[in-house]
Amino acid sequence: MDRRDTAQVEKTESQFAKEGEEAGQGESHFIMENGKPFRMPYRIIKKVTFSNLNQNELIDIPHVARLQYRLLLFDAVIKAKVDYHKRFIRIIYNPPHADNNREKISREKLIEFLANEGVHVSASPEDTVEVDYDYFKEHYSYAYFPPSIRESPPYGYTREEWKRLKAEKEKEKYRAEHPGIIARLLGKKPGMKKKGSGLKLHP
Amino acid sequence: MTGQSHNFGGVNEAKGLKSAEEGTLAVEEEEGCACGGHGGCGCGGHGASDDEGCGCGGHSAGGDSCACGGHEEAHASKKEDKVEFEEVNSKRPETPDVAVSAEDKTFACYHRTIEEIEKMPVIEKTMTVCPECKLIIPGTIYKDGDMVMIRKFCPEHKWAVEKYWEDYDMYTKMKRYNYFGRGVDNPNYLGQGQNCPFDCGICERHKTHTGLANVVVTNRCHLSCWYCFFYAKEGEPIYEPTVEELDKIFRNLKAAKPIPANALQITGGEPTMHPEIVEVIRRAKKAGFDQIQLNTTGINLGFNHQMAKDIKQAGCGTLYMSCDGVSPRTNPKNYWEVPHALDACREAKIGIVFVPTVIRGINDHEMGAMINFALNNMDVVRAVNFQPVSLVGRMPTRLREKQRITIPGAIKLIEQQTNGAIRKEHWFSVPYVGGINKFIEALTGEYKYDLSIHFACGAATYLFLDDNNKVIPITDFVDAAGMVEMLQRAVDEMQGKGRMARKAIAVKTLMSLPRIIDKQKQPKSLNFGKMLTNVFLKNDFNAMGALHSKTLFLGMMHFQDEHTYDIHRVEKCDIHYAMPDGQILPFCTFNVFPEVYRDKIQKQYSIPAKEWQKISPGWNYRQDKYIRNVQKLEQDPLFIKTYANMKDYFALPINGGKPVANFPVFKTKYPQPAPVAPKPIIPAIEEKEAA
Repeated sequence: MDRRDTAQVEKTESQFAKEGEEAGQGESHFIMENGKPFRMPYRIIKKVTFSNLNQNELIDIPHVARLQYRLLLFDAVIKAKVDYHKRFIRIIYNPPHADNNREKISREKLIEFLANEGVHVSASPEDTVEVDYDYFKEHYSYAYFPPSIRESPPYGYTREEWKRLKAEKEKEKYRAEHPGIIARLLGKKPGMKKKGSGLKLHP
Repeated sequence: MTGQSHNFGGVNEAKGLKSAEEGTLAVEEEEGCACGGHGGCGCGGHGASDDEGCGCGGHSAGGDSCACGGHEEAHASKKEDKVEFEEVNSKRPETPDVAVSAEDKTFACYHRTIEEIEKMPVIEKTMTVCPECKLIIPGTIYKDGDMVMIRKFCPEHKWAVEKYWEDYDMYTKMKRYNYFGRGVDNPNYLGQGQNCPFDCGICERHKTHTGLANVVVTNRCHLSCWYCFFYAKEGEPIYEPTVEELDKIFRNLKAAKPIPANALQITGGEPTMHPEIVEVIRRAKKAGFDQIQLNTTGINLGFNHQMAKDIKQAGCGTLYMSCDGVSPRTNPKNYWEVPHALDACREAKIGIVFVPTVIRGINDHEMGAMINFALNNMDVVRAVNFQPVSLVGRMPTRLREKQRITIPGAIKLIEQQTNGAIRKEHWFSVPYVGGINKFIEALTGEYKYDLSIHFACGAATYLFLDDNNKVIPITDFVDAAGMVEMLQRAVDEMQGKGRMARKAIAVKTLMSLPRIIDKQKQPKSLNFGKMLTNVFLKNDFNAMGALHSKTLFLGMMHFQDEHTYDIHRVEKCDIHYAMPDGQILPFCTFNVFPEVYRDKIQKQYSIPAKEWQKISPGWNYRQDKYIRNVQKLEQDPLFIKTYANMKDYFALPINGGKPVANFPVFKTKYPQPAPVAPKPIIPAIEEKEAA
């Protein structure tokens, strides 16, 4: 029997969900979309932002990039962003109490690691903000449905030329796709042929 | 039990091979390989560990005995335990010990003082990484004699120099075609890429859309290549997304703006081990990919013709098949199985791209012979895509220097090995094609596929085989540089003009196209001018499909490693990996920093070995592995037909009359099967007469 047979997948899924529950991990292994299961390694995890960092400790952009790389080496760190100019570190990580069976790390460990790297974070609540992070909604869903942030014109066109051309093209496309609506707007019945001049040549 | 295991049962039965359970010792090769290994995963990237392997000095030396001389006891106990199979390509062979002289031109560039290096003319500045600590540091690309080198200085790990491009003239020629693409309008990861390459996902800084999308469908593999990090070893988690998950990844790739990916490479592990590979291909086709390739060893398909037909029917048109040489020494991975793969693809009408990973001192002497092999099988082989090795991972400096080869280095060797029939002038960098699609875009106002990659990443040419067996590279009869200049002038002229004016400029340009074609030199079976006009008139590259079917495409793709890393190259990469978390990653971040991208994300979405065993009853790691029986394979008529009857095209007087270097001499120590008497043409009548 193939492991992907529907019956077996359902059974396996529920079986693992049950096992997860028993182990105190909940049903966070899968999410259902259109009735189909998708493996989801994390659900609610944590996002911590350390701001107002000392720029001297960050040194420069190359060192900041390396710090980001080193943070990413932790399996429990899902994403990290170290910004030199804005002087903050944002870490999305899997906290010890999270509802999954992946590697975990505590905020204290992260702070300790940063201190070892020469970056000391402030303990004040204004500078260290930790919030829940929905991996599915904020990371996964964004990556699968990213919004457009710009519009590049084809080669050989300026932005203005492209705006005009695009509008024209969209009109043409709409006409081709909706001949009925266009005909109605022009006061014609759809499928009506253009009339001739009315003159007929007798044989 | 997985579908794969079922297939294997079928294979073994059909070919008369014994299974592991029956106690066959897999025989790796005839002579024992000293090759040093090469990637055939298609990626061109291989890791190398600190040490030089077990040092046993060889592999199984034919028959049932092992020639290693170092582990007799271990082998004996293995036999006793009836665990008598050896994973194919699993041992790291010794590399020939070539003495490195500081005066040798190939290595001299590595052994200069910093004072000498700093005096060398600087070509350009870039950003790179320290191979040791991954600090982003400035890199200087400089000229050292004929070589183009990159130097970098890390405050902690000091100076590092590496070959960037082995021919300065070619570097300047290729650089002319460099241009910046548009990137993606809806990047999958929010970020400006200040900390590139550690901000990847893909971000708004990236300058090229996905040209070739790679999707990993499994990390299980039937081989165990010693250099490969990409397959699941015993006890490791299995990464094998379901059809639905893969379908979602395909749709994500197709949602990119303004130009969605149109070419897809389904890769692994060994992708044919995914139990629903046919359905996966079908879904990819349904998602809208026009070109679907399967990156495979060809072994499973070679022994399962029905599977080849099924994947063709599902929409896969090309096999991207690793094939590192034309001898058992250079291609221990699938030398014996290649004839079967060719046969299966012939039957199923699937085109093949040979993908030899080139390592200096290992298989670089067989590049000409590889082209000749492809010409011999041109009915099914569409291209040879050489991949100069990417030396990812830690390895001794001296070994790295010996094995390093870059695109021009490989091109020069091809020139030597093919008797000057394919010269370095015949090659163009990949972004050269940009001239053609820019022209079509400017004319039609519609987005076209944009190969705006970095000029140092790839090079290509086309070979035509004329009716009289003459090998004719395309640039022998087409003024390629002149054509692109002409098209670029037309694009500049079109700027700011209305539709009619643009069309008039295009007509004027197309009228002058015949001037760039030398009709005397073009192959007699080809009307290139007409073909080119079709490309422009049809406004897409479908007409180029006809070109592919009459030619052999030669490509070079050099992936980076930490030593050659150039951020200008990675931000222009168009070979992307689509991941299950929705992110899309350029090849050279995905594979050069696997610890923060490839392995990290795949691990997140993998299934622990125990869980995998639960959902795949009866599965075990060893069941996946391929068992080779060299004797059977070498006695196969297909094997003899493929390797023993090869023609040397370059030895023909029309192509210079000098044999291709290292033309493979067919030899086998196994007795050849007796020739089978031809069957009577009309047996029924003859039988009747006899009666």
